[in-house]
Amino acid sequence: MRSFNGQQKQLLVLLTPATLFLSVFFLGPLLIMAVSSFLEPGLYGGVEWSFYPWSYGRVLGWADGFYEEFDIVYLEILLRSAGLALATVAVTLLLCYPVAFWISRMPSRWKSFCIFMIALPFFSSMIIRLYAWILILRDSGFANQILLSLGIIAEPLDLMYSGTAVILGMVYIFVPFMFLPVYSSVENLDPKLIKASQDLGATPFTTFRRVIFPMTLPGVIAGSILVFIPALGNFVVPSMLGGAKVVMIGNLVEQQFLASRNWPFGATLSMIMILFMLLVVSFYLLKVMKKQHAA
Amino acid sequence: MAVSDPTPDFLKIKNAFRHFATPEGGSVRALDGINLNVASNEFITLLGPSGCGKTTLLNIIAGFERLDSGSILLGGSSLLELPAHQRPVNTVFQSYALFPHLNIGDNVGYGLDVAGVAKKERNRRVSEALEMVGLSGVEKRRPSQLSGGQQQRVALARAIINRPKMLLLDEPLSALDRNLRSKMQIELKNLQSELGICFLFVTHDQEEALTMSDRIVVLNGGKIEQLGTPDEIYHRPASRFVTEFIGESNIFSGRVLESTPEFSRVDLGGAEVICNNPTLSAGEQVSLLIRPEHFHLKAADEPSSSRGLTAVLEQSVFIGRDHQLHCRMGNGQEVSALIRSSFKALQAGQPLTLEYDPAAWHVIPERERVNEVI
Ligand SMILES: Nc1ncnc2c1ncn2[C@@H]1O[C@H](COP(=O)(O)OP(=O)(O)OP(=O)(O)O)[C@@H](O)[C@H]1O
Ligand SMILES: [Mg+2]
Repeated sequence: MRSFNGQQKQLLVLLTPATLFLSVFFLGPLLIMAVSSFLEPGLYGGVEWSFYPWSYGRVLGWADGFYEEFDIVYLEILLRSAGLALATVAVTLLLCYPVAFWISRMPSRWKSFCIFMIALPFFSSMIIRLYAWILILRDSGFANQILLSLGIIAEPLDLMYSGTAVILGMVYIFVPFMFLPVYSSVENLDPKLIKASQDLGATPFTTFRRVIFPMTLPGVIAGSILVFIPALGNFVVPSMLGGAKVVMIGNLVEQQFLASRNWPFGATLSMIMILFMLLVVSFYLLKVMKKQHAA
Repeated sequence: MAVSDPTPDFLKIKNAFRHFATPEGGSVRALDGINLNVASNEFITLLGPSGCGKTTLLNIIAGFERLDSGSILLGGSSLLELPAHQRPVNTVFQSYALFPHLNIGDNVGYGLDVAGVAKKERNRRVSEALEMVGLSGVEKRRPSQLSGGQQQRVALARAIINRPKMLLLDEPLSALDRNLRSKMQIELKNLQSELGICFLFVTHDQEEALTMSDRIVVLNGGKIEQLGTPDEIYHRPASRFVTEFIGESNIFSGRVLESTPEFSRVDLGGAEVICNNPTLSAGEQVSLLIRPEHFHLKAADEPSSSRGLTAVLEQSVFIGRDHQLHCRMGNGQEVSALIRSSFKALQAGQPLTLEYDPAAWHVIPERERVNEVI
């Protein structure tokens, strides 16, 4: 009992800095945001200290109809953002899963090199990298020039300012977040297990379904969550590559704080987005864990 | 599981070659012309030092590795064209390779599940297989919740559930402690005769090979040094390599002084021994083997005979039932002998006469390698 107490004390000491840091820089701001989402917007930004549930009403349907009106567009934007984020998850997963297997079979020198190459974009600014995509995708950009000169198209394609461009940009930005966890689970997969499965009569496809996929699932889950959350809240990519056509929930929040100066409404949208994320992620985790138990 | 009549040449390996390129640019001959026939109910052991090609041969039979040239027939039809998952052989892996995400029942039932065997039949056979390896009622546990020995049994149950025609075992006991190991050796041997299928067993432990096998294949550098029963391998090793690899041995080189149909006299450089070997001819240079346990010390009241080696005791080591004696002969050569411990206390520096039976000497053939040619 005594040693257990000692251990607890030790744990407390070790956890204190992290706890303090998180409470000051994460829980604090979250609390401020939660409170301000229920306050009245000030005239030139800021908040008035009176209870004001109509910001939520604007999004969810109980606006007072006088100062604030319900508009379904906010929910639509939230869902569209979720769709774009999901598409980003799907594309990054499809890209990273096979590549992870490919790289894990390389000689170790090449492995380190490839992982370095995948992490390399982190060394430069995201804005600059997105500008590079603009140069590629715009009407007179590389993509169109190449297609035109090859005679595949007669007119330049409208590549910029579309959902596809936004997904492309987000996939580009978030690939390392998917790759690293997926790769580590693939790398940890014991090749003997694959041999054992084949030895017992499983075809390559069955081996994938019954051994390889379940064994790498933790990496896939981690990668999906790591991509989904920042993709859902992202506003840089849609504002650069999506223009005015593709507004995501992140852009909306940004506008409320910086342009419309309606802080409580920005906070409301953020809170709804956070709750939505929690819901989606916990639903996903529950579903996956159930499946793992059943297997 | 019915035991059918044994087929003598069930597995036929002919002129099997396999080499690997080394990173330094050279190449290793992992299999260098292997010829081997195995009966359908035989317990056959591949024995040899690390890197001699044992795992490579197993991998080729299982289908995880290809052959450069040669052929492998199982029950008369070629194995090499079949992908691993269609071959009627199963493997027990060295580190067991149990699926960590499945419980024991699902691990053992894996082969049946992928074959689409009906639930009821499948469950019956899973408990039957677990019962055969002496491990009932653990279906719901995870591999990590079992001891090494239990995991070993699960791996065995998983490998026999598909009723393979042949079981490949790659050093399955090497991770177990000594006691458990000897227990499992007996159980494996029993399981093999119960199933009546061929076990191709890999080990680099010569004692294990001698205890369990019907026949032993001694491999060295991708070649078969000797193929024979444990008795043949131990008492009539076909080469110096086999002699040194199997058991404790005293090897002498000498010159034949006299050879008659009854006996030969051989000069070991200062000492003379008598051995029963009619094939020697006078003047020939030979290598002779005698095992330490073939020496005995003469009690004081027994009449002395000329069939003894005189040597000085350097060290006597108690190893349980026996004493191991390290002695040195007059010509400086070391001799070791295994003597029952009940014998009177011996002192270092004491001169001894190590008596032998002339029939205990074995002449090691001088040719370097013996490959069975079919
Ligand atoms: N995939 C491979 N690539 C290169 N060389 C290999 C490969 N597999 C085996 N070898 C080489 O072939 C030789 C035989 O290897 P093998 O694994 O069959 O030995 P082994 O008899 O099983 O040894 P151990 O008792 O240590 O398991 C070794 O020299 C090994 O280095
Ligand atoms: Mg091996």
